[in-house]
Parts: sequence; C-alpha cells; structure tokens
Amino acid sequence: MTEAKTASWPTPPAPEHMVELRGIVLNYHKLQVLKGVNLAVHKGETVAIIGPSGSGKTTLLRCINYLTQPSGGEVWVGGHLVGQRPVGGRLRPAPDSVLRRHRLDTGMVFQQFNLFRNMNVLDNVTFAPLSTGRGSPGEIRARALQLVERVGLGHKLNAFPNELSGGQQQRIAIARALAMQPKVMLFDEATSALDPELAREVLDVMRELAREGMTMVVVTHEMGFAREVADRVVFMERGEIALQGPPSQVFSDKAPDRIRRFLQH
Amino acid sequence: MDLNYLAEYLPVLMDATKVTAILTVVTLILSTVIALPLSVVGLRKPNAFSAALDLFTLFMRSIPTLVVLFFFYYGMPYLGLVLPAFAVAVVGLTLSAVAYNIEIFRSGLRAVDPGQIEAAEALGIPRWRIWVNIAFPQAMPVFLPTYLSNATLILKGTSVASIITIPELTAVSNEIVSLTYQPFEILIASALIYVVLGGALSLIAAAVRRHLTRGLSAGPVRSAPAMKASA
Ligand SMILES: Nc1ncnc2c1ncn2[C@@H]1O[C@H](COP(=O)(O)OP(=O)(O)OP(=O)(O)O)[C@@H](O)[C@H]1O
Ligand SMILES: [Mg+2]
Repeated sequence: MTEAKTASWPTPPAPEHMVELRGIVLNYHKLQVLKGVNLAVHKGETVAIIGPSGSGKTTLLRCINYLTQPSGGEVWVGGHLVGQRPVGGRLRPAPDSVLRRHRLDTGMVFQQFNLFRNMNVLDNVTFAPLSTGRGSPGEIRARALQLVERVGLGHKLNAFPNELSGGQQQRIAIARALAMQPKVMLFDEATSALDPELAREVLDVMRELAREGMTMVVVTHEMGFAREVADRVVFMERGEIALQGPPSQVFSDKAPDRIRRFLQH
Repeated sequence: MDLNYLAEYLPVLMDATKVTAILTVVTLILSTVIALPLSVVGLRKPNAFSAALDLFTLFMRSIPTLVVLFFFYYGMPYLGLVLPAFAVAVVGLTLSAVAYNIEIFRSGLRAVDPGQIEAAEALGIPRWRIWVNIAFPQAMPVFLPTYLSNATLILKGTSVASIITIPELTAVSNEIVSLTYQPFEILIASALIYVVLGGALSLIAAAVRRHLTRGLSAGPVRSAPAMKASA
C-alpha cells in the first residue's frame, strides 16, 4: 500500500500555519502575474496585503480559495491541500466536489459585495449553510440571526440587497461568509467601493473580527487599517512579495525607498 | 356570415382546437424541460459538448420546421423507424423549439452578474443550486418576454403539422373549406380560436412571472455603490 507515502507527501505545513502558500505561480498567456509566492499565515493572524495596482494582490488572494487556479505551487488551508490531490506520485486538480469541500474553510468578501439579489438578507446568510448541510436548519437560522445582529443589521432581515446601502450590503456579505464558519477570511478591497463613512462601518466589523481571533488576509488600500489592525503587512510588487513585516517596520522611515514612494500617494 | 353553417362545424373545430392545444402544450413543456439544463452547458467555459450544441441550434433554427417534419415523417421509415404522425409532429416541433429556448435562456443567464456566481462558488454552494436558486431566478425577468413570444410562435407553428395529416386546427379548417367552398366563417372562427389560445398563454406566463419574481426588481440590478451611498 502507498499509505505511508500519501501520509507524508505532499508534506502538510506546521500546525500553527492556517494558510500556507508554496511557490505560487500564475501565468496569463505569456504574462507571469505571480512569480512563485511563498506566504504563511498563522492561526489568528491578520495579514494585510498592499502594493501598487496590477501587482497581483487580487490574484494571490483568489488563489487561496482556488477561484483562480494557480499554474503552479501548493495552497494549504487549515492543514488541507486546496484544489489538488496526489494521484500516482503527482498532484492533480481535484474534482469539483472535492474543491467545494476545500472551500468550506475559507470565506471571501468582494469589493462589489456580490449579495444574491433575488434573496433577502436572511436568505443570503442562510442559503450557503443550508445548501451544504452545515448544521440543522434551526441551528443555521439561529446562527444567521446572531451574525446579522452582530454586524448591526438585525432590523433589516427581510430587506433585499437593493434596499440596502453599500456599507450595509458589505456587512451582510461578511455575515454571509461567517455563516459557513470558515477558518480564514479573505477580503479583497472590501471598502474600495464605499464612501469613507460607509467604509468605516465595514472596517469596524473587520477590526472586531480580527480582535476575536479570526485568521484574516486583507487586500487593502486603507493604510490606516493595515497599520492599526494587521499583525503583518505584505508589500507586493510585480507578482512578488517585495517586503513583509510588522506594520511598525513597513510603515517606518527606514523602509526601502520604493515602499515609501508607494505609501506617499 | 352564416351562423348556422358555423354552428354545424363548430364541434369539429373544437376537436381540432384540442389537438392544437395539446400539441402546443406538449411541445412547450418538452422543449422547456430539455432546454433548461442544456442552456447551462458551457455557459461559463465553452467545451466540446457546448460546441456541438451550438451547431445543433444553428441547424435547427435555419432549417424550416416543415422540412424537419418531412424529414422525420418520410425519412425515418427509410431508416426502419415508423412513428405515428402525432409523435413525429411532437419530435419535430420540439427539436426546433429546443433550439430557440436554449438561446433564449442563455441570453437571460448571460445577463446575471458573474460576481454573484463567483461568490456562490467561493461559499462552496453546489453547482446545480447556483443555477436553480441564484442564476435562473435572476435570468427569468430578462428572458420571460422573449420566451413568451416564442411560446406564441410555437402555438402558431403547430399549424405546420397539418402537412403530415395531424387533425389540428389549420388542417381541419382547410378540410372543411375544401368540402363546402365557404371559407369566410371557418377561417374567422379558427383565427379567433388562435387568438384565444395565445391570450391564454400570455395570462399563464404573466401569472408565472408574478409568482417567480416576487422581491426581484425589474432585472438583475447591478450594484451601484457610489450612487447608493449618496441616495
Ligand atoms: N483574467 C485575467 N486575464 C489576464 N490578465 C489578468 C487577469 N486578471 C488579472 N490579470 C493581470 O494580472 C495582473 C495582476 O492583477 P491583479 O488584479 O491581481 O492586481 P492587483 O494587485 O489586485 O491590482 P489592483 O490594486 O488594481 O486591484 C495585472 O497585470 C492584470 O492585468
Ligand atoms: Mg485587486
């Protein structure tokens, strides 16, 4: 039997690594968008990814839940290899049903909210757990009510997305992702489409989530948020991680020139 | 207008109306049930099967239904397959209706915001659920008007079946006229019957639409966050 082999290969990451990216490469035709990115995110850590437009931040984030399939490398979330499985000594793309299971560990929040526009708030939050059998209907409903309350929209349960402000929609989108009880939350420019005031109510929810110990990977242009909330800031440039470290270091006067230039505008 | 003459043939016309109605309903249901799952194939990422399907719809929409019916009616026996005329009519009408319905459903599905589909995939929601509960409900208001007008085309198209001896409304009207040489009353009556059947179709479609699109605004409205924020 090959059990010994499958148990040790591919090698799972250290248990404290909630997310581990190994040599992630992504090519669009001839353009190499990600050039072998390595990144480990610890349990309960909040990592902010910053960098110039087109540097590959969104693409890297989407590789974590395989919305974008990398051309090479390994993605590990919660100790599981995502989107691939070993077959005969090689890694092969996992079938759809398996990938779906892998995705249960990650929640994602998009710039454009992407709420289901044919469903009210409660259905938006309960639909995914109900259709994937994440608990009994009673439990799912109770959890949803609690989450919607927690993002401050308990009075909007029956509202449809087009009756909500952008900030409210985004808070519901966060509740929707949390309803699946993910181990990691991914945010892609969650506040870029919002006026500053509406952005603040979303950022408050995210800050709270980080404080409660959720593992988060946050692509953002909100330097204030990165500085205050992130445990670590990753600066991307041309498909690579150019620098990473605690905010105090990345945002310091001693950071390399090109980072300070980026931060100035 | 000779009402006595009309009254004499009304029972025959009513029987023919039944045939037309049954042919329409059967074609409509079959073509919808077949086209719904097919419209989803290759929509997000074209594949070999969807390419074959494209070819099929191109063929079926180009070839006159009459020719399709002739092909099955006269052609199939050569291949050793003899079907009753009614079955041939259903198969022929359904095949061409499927082609149109696939295109109609696709145009609606393409209007659905791909961001929502992606969000659903990221949540691990099964694919069929994404189509049934998220994409189709939002595509419905988009494709329903076209679907409805296509349904009336199907109703009218059943008259083609007269050519293969199906005793539907057009065939029977023609037969009466060729016996009596009094076309006026019969043709008016059969035209009115088509109008009533078409009206019934519209009413049913309107009711279905009201039922299925509750809570949805006119279309799959895309978010306009900046506008929302200032509203
Ligand atoms: N589907 C695609 N096909 C081809 N090229 C793509 C595709 N998606 C992204 N790219 C390219 O990949 C590069 C990285 O894009 P990405 O969206 O990850 O950047 P980003 O850092 O998120 O930028 P921004 O700050 O503007 O959101 C860009 O050069 C972009 O043009
Ligand atoms: Mg981006």
